[in-house]
Amino acid sequence: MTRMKPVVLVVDDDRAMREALANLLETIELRVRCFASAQEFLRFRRPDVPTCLVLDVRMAGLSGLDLQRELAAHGEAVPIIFLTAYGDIHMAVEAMKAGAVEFLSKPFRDQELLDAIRRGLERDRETRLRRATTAALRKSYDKLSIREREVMSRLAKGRLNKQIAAEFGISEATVKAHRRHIMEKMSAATFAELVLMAERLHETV
Amino acid sequence: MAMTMTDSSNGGWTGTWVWYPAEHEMFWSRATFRILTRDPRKTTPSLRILFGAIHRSERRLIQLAFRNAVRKKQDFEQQYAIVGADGVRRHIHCAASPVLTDSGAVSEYVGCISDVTARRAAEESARRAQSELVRVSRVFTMGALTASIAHEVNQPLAAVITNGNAALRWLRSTTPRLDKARKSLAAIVRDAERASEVIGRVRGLASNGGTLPEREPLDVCSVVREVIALIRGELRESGAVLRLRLGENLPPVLGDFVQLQQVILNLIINGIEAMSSNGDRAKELTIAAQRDRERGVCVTVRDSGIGIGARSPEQLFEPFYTTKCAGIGLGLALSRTIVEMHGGRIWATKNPRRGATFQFTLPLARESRS
Repeated sequence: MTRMKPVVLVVDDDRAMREALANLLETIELRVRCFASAQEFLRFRRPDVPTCLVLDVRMAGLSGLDLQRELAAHGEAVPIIFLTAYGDIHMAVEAMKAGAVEFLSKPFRDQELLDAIRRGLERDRETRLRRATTAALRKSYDKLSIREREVMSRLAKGRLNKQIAAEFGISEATVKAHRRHIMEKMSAATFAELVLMAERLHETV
Repeated sequence: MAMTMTDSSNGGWTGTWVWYPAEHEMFWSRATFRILTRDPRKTTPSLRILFGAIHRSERRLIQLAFRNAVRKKQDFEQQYAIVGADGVRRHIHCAASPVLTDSGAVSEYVGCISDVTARRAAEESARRAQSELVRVSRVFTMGALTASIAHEVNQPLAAVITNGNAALRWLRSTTPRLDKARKSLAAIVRDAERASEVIGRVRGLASNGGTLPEREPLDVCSVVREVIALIRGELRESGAVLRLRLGENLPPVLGDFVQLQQVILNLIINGIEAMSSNGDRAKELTIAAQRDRERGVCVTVRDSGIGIGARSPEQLFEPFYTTKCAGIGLGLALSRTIVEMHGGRIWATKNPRRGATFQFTLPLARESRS
């Protein structure tokens, strides 16, 4: 999935600017899709690939900052690079606080924009990778029996086999069998990896 | 005497005089002596002294006017500047009426002479304050306009720079892409031309500002479009949705392009400002230009803003009337002056739901020529 070609989405109501941005991004072989308004962008079904947004701050209807809020409200953390015709510090601060990658005023240096896009795509790639790993873990974890889940949580806390056997009134050999099954089902190569997995699951539960 | 001279220099005195033409004699009241800064004990009142005090530049004209009044046995009334014996310049209002005998001859002229220096100064400062206000309100509009124009020029320039950088990259790549570079250069030319057009429009607006209004047959729709092109940045920033309803093939009106631009610009800015506190409510600005069967062409600017409140819509067009904290209250008054100078009419109405509608009409070119 992470090897799929990333896409840069450009939202600017100025046609000349959209075309110029598409032209520039094409020179480094980036896939670009342009939208004339925030509304048009929201109607578009975004592909499941690393994505970065290049947004004009001032647009008729929904502004760039409105769109940022709208996306955040739906839990869609797409990295955003803002372009503005005015060096409005207040707006820049607001946008950066809300997690924007960069805030550039027009006209901008091409290298600055390209660097920001690279950072944005990298950030989205990491987010997607983390989300995918967690989802896979979740799926494996769901395959564990109730007793196996109980044993896994005790193991992650550093309890000894003997202590776990005593707690549940089972033999140590049974605890060892559970442990082997857990390692298999979670596809953990080492015990240390299993502990990490338990931590990550605990974070996301 | 020294005391009275000081008083008279502050102005406000009114003296009387009587002139007996047959006897070549005159009577001056004490105040007349004071205004002319003459010592009553050393001066024999005469027309020569009364008019001799008038500033050189006006003296002959005023004397001529008085002689004409006497010949026609008419009233005389003039304002002029005098230089007193103390060398101080004063503004004088002088009026006189003939007293006729039964046979119809002039027996005497009864006149009064007032020192209006203080009043003139007050009028002058009021006039200066007003022209200052006009200037300030123009600066306000120019401020909004400048920001809008800066955006209109910056936008194509940003595209030019971006395309320029792209062209360099296409040429620099290991296998130069001439087709892509050529396409980038074509886009650069197109966008640079757009920036140049904006500059041209601004120049047109500025150069016409100082000259007398010129009347020419105009398409109102093109005036509206020009204004929208100038104010696009402002509109965009406001977040207002613009609806244009421009009638097709409207007959031309006779008018001054720049003045009509100013009226429309003013109505649009007012509309945008009226909607600035709309919050989540939709900001809708409708601009229409249509044929009006009775009055020629009608231009409408409708907003969904705070509206005009309980006040009478007519009041809005009075000078110095404003509901805005940043406004001077001259915009609509000036708009009315311009529209009425064009033989049109301007008015405001409250919208049934929200906001206000401003409309003005202009007579058609062939009608106003007759």
